Amino acid sequence: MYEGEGKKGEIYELKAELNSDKRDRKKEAVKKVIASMTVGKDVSQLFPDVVNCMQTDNLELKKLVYLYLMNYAKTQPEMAILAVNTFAKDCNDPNPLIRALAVRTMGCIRVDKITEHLCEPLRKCLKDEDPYVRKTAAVCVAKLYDINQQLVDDQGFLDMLRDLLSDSNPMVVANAVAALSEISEQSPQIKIFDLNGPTVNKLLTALNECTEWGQVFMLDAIANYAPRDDKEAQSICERITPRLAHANSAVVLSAVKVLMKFLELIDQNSEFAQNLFRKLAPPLVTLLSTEPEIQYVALRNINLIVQKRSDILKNEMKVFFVKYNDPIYVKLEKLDIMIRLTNATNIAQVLAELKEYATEVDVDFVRKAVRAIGRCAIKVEQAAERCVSTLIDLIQTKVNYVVQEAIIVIKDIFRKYPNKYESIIATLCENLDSLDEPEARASMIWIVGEYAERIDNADELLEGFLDGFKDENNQVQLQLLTAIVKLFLKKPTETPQELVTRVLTVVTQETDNPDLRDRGYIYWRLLSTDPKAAKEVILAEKPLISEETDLLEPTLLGELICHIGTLASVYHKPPNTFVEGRFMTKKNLPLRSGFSNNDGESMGNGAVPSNYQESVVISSNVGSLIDDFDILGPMPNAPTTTTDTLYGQSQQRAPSAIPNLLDDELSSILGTDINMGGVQTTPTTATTNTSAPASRLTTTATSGGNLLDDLFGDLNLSSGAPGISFSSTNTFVLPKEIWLTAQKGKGMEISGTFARRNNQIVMEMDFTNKALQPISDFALQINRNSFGLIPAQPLHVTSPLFPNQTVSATLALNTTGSIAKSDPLTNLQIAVKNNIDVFYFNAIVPIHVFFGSDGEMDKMAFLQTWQDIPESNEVKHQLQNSSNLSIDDLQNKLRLNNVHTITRTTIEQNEMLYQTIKLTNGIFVLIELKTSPGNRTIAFSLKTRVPEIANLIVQSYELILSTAQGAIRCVRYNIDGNYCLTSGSDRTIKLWKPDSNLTIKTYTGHSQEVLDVHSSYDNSRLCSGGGDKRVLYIDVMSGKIVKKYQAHAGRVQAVRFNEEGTLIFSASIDGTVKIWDVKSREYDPIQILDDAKDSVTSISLSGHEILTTSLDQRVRTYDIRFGKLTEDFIGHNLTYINISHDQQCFLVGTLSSQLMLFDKINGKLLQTFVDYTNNTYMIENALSNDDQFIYSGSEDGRLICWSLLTAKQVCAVEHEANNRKSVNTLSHHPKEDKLLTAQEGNIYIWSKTDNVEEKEEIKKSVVTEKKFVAPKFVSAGFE
Amino acid sequence: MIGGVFIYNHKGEVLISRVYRDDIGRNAVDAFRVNVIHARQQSRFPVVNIARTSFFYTKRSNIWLCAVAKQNINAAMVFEFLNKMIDVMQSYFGKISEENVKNNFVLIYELLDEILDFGYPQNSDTGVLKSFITQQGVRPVTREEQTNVTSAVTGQIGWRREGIKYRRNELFLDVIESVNLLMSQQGQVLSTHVAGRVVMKSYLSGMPECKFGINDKITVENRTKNTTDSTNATTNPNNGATNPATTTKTAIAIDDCQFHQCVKLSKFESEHSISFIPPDGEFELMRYRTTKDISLPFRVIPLVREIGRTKMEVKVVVKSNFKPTLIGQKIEIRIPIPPNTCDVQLLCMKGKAKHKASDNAIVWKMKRMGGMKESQLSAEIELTPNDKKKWNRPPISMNFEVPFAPSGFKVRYLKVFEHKLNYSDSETIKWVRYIGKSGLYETRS
Repeated sequence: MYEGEGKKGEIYELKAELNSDKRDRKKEAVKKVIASMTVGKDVSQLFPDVVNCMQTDNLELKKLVYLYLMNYAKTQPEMAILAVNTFAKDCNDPNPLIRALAVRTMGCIRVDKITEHLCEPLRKCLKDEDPYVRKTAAVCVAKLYDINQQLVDDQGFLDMLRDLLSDSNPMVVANAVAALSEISEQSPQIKIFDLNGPTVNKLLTALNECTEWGQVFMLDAIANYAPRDDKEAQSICERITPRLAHANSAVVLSAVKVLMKFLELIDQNSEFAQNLFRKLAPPLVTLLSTEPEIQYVALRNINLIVQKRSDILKNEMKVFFVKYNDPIYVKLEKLDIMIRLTNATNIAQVLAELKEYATEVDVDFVRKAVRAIGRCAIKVEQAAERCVSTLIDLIQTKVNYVVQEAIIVIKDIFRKYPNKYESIIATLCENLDSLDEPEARASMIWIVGEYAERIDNADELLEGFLDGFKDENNQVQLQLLTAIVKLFLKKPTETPQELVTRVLTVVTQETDNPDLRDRGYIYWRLLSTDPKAAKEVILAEKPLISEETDLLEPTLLGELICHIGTLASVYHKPPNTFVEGRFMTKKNLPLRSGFSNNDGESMGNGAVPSNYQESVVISSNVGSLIDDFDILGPMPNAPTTTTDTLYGQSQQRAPSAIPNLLDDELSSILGTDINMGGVQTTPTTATTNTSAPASRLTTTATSGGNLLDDLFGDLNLSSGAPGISFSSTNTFVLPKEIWLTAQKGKGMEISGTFARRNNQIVMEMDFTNKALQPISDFALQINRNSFGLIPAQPLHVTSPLFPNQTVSATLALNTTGSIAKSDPLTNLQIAVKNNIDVFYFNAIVPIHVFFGSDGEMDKMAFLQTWQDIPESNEVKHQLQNSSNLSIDDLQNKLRLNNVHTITRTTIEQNEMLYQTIKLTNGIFVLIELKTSPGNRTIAFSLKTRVPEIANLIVQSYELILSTAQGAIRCVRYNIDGNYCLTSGSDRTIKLWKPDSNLTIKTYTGHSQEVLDVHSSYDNSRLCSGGGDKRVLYIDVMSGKIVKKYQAHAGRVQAVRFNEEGTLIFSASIDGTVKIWDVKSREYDPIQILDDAKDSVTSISLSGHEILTTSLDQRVRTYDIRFGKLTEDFIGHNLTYINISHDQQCFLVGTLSSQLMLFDKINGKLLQTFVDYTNNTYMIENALSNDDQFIYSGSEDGRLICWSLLTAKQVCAVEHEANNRKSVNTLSHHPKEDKLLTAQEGNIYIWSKTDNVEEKEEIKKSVVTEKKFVAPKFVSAGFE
Repeated sequence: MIGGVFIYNHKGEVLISRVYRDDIGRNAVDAFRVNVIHARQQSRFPVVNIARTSFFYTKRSNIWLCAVAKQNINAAMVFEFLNKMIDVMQSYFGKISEENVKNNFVLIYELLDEILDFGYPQNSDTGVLKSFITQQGVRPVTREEQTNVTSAVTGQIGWRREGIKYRRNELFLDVIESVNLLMSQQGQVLSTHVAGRVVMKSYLSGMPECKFGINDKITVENRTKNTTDSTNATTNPNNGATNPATTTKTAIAIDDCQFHQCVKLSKFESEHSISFIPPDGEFELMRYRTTKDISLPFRVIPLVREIGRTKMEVKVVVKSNFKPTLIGQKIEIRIPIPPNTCDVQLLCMKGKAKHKASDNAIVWKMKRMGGMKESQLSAEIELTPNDKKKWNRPPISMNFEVPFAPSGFKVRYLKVFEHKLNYSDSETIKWVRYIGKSGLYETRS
């Protein structure tokens, strides 16, 4: 009570002093406050009084007040706001010290209200003229990011920070690097600090002039950079090497880290690398003469470095000799490194030292020294004998813990060198009684059991142990049990049967330990049923003890090397084991990309220095793989002997000439034809000037007009025809098949397939390990083949692959390799190497992956070529159009696979398609397809100069046509609900009648998936937008594209007509909404709404208002009449907006799995609808016509309906049982209670039954579903 | 980065606590006290992880300094920083003691605010810090002066401010070497190295550029190669053949060297020349390490005989092994004896010897000893019969100071160039001094 009063008095006094007029008293008072604060007293009551002192020009006083603020602002946020004005004022102070102080302090006050006010001063200070202020501001950005990431993003501070990397002042650069590194570590998912060549260069330049700490920041940042090639790595290494002479050990270690990491990329045997290795040793040794704490950090790191590259310090053994006065932690670490460096040449020295250490006083150290002697014996075979005799000497000292430790290691020596040192057993037995530690006792018992036949009184010894069996440690008990049984099996005649029975009885009946009991039972049964088997089991040969059991696992070691100097390297643990919360990116050592394909000799027989480096240096083994591979299987001798002109031709072309192939081929076909006047020639005379045929082409076009008319009749080009180039994304892919069975692959199973992705042939493989041990060191090589396929990059498989684990790997392939005809033509011989063996197998490459995207041909050229190829080369076939594809679909589907439709025509009601394919090796294939109405077969006829491939092409057509693919991007009812529009990722828009399943028309013209479509009120026009950034304005009747708008910078996600159909609103990922006047002749938007900070996801129109949602979490309402913009911050990423029919509310979908209903007038949140999944896709929602119900798709394949008023789920129905694919799009019928949805390629119509009640039981019956055999769509998911 | 810095007294009371990061809770201060300072068993590692928080600590006299972090931070940097902080504090108020810390706590807070920002070490150069963190209050400074300060803190030459003027331009070079030796009982050298430091005191005006030359093997060889090449062309070849032989003899092989941050490392790497703009006043220019051809100034020859269980005879001979004209100073030999010693009879030819029971050692001191001399001490030690614990003989250690550099290190030149102020190299007064000291100079007995 009394004390409490005293305290109060103290505070009261301080209060009075703080409010004193005298500056000195004030300052003293603040000092007292800070002193109390330090000791942990609560002085927060003085907050207002202290803050009052802030307004001073005394820098020291100001600093004190700021210190107080930092501590207490959080507890008194309302009061802290009082300080904001002073901060703002100080940020404009003429004195740079004060400006910096203010910025520094503000960032430490974690009060939201203050943070808001921080932005403007910070922005100014980031551009301050004084470098001192700038460097402080740079760190402040990191502080701010820690408080409010969104704010930093929004305010563009990150860009400003990046700008500071080019600052003229090195310290500013250093702090910017530090801040950026921290920020990017906090949000690894965003590429905030993307190091590239020029940036690294800037850092390297600034490095020379920076403070020691700045150098550490920069080196740590550079360590995260991935150099493009070994040259760049080498030049960075060169510039960093001088840092090794820095006095600050942190700089040295960080430099070592960069060097160790980048050395991975440099050829180990090069002079440069060897030189660098030599340069690394002295600075590491010098670190040992620093303060003990730093020595400790250095030693822990040296321990890692030695494990990675033992030769760096192999000659420096002496420096690790322990000094008498070293702190114990230094001693233990030195000992560890000594053992790692021990080899045959220095063992004598080491052993003498270890013997010395074994007489020291510190028990832990002595034990470790004794153990080290044993480890030396196991490591260096030549020295084993000397080590053993040293151990015997130590045992003779009779120092209890030395003896025990010695016996433990001798057990390991026995396991390593069986039947070699049994002579010492007698000495060991003398010390039996002094052993009191379980491990030592267990070791001794093991020795007795193992060598029972040599020890005369083994039974007595073991019996002695058995007497106190129950008091023994579990480990000892287990060992004793085994030893007695061993003894019995070895000397069945002499051993008293009673001993065995006794131990088995005790173990099985009187013990609670299940391990012990079970082992007892097993022995008992083995002995009683089959003594011979018992012998085999119990006396089995033991695997030899491995010499380096205490080495770190190589991947962990690699990761730790990337963390040299940091805590992880001190703990020898990856950071995620001791750092909380943050999502950490795992660092790995870079892999050297020396996997060149043909010239294996450069790295042929590189002997691998030690076995654990093997996993890193893959390239050193590749040479041998290639050698093996070349002699495999029967192969044509030389490519020139292949008679086929085709192969000869493509051989002559340099690999880089691929893009020109088209010209060459065309000119060879056309040029010769024109010259020869239609006489057939072989295309081998492809030497004609490439520019000449181009002009000739035009002339043939006019002169050959009649010809064309004859063949094609009335030309009826579809709107999506050749004028538009299609950047094909993905062609269809066959399912993976097993290439190499586990049986053949010694446990490694490989299944795979080929695909064409983004115009790159890729091999997609799954590696499964069905063996018992991990598999590592994967490499792959492809034999010469018909199409010249070779890997474009080395195979990258996460290694090691543990048992029962499967990893997928994708390998890009080039077609620039050497060519040899294989049989069958598409056969590919593949060799995969791993640490076990090299395996060879065959795979068939589906021919359609060779279809090039550049295979379009001019009509005339087509015609000419068609005529040129002899009739005998024509192959005819009947294709089954089993899924009843329309001619449009057919065309689309084929186009996706790089089959180009040259022209399309109708002859006597038969639709004809003329198509070309160009293979990667330049072969053209010309195809004619004929469909007749009502007939499901397609007449197929093909012409090519290389008839061998004809059948393969036919097969691929069958494959392409038979695969049903699909997902639908968008479904929309038209204005009256009689028709509906759907669009998909097959780049088409379809108009169809929902009730009759009748496709009326297909509209094409987009070159990528179509994301949204809308019809005008009079149903005469359509507008659409898609991934190709275009907005199309299409005439419904003719299908013609009336207008094509191309001003968006990113894909168009939503399009809408205004009510009159005169304007199109398009929203794009580029963050703008553009408004187009369709009546105008202009192709520029009449207005651009670019208020959004992120992609605009949807638009909704209602009368005079435009509502948009954006991923910047805001709903924007544009009032056209007043020209006013209202922003509502929702706080979630928004995907879709709908306005209620009464125009009072709007409903938004969010990426946090909730729909939110807001009052449009005042922005109040009215209702939240939950219990569905929406985290990734843009899921659309809808309101029923009477605004009673709310519908939405869900990512788990359900359609959800809520009651608007209660926010309760009325129903949730699955589209298909067992199909949990996302339902993205839906549209409500404008008049009836019907819904249109789509899941993947199927379209569903739902109609509502009448009596809706909020009851759980009737959920399923509320909505009946009606499924259609929908028009087939081609798809890709929507991210 | 560093989340906070705490300073405790030996009782574990907090003297200074400065938290930089939000992830460090208030209980971190107590966690360290409870788990490290008050721990029953002394912690064996300088980094401790308690509840996913890492504590880095070091102790000076009886003051604990501790840095805390929650992230995977650069550990070497933290310790370097702690040491640096100690240096800074020492140069501000002398010895680190509880009283000094308490008296200067405002200053320490101010320093901590300046040298650590959000846990990132900033400029920690004492000279620069002293230019704007003073405890005299703020003098009204002109705008120019302020920018001088800030550019000094952040500038390329962060260790020197503009406008320094001296009437007499003077500089002092101290080459201080400590010889480390571990010798076996039999007189075999187990390991030896010299850790040398070149300490410079510069009192130079303006922004002088200095060039420093030493008898490092690589540089000397480079030079002789060049000169012999040129001399060979003019004079007869016989001269050229003898010349390098004499120069290489005086050159030494430096295993590794490190420089103050003012030295242009890239220039050293490329041209092997040491050039720098020195800070004002005293600083450590260079540190180096040599292991070859070290002339050991002294040799200790111990002879220990145990006579029975209660008696021991120790004889120690010290030989000095340098030029007779030089004199070694402050010689102290520490001979450890068993803890159960009850009486010691000492006899020495020179100097004074004492039995220090508290240290369990005989301390033999000689003020000076000439070169190529020898001296002896013999002792009879009586022991109380007590063999509970085995006595492991610690090594005999020795301290001394000699006026030469045992590694053979020589300063060849130090040139000063100042472009603006135009004082020439010859006008500067330069002093060089060599001191050889004992580091860990031990002989196992």
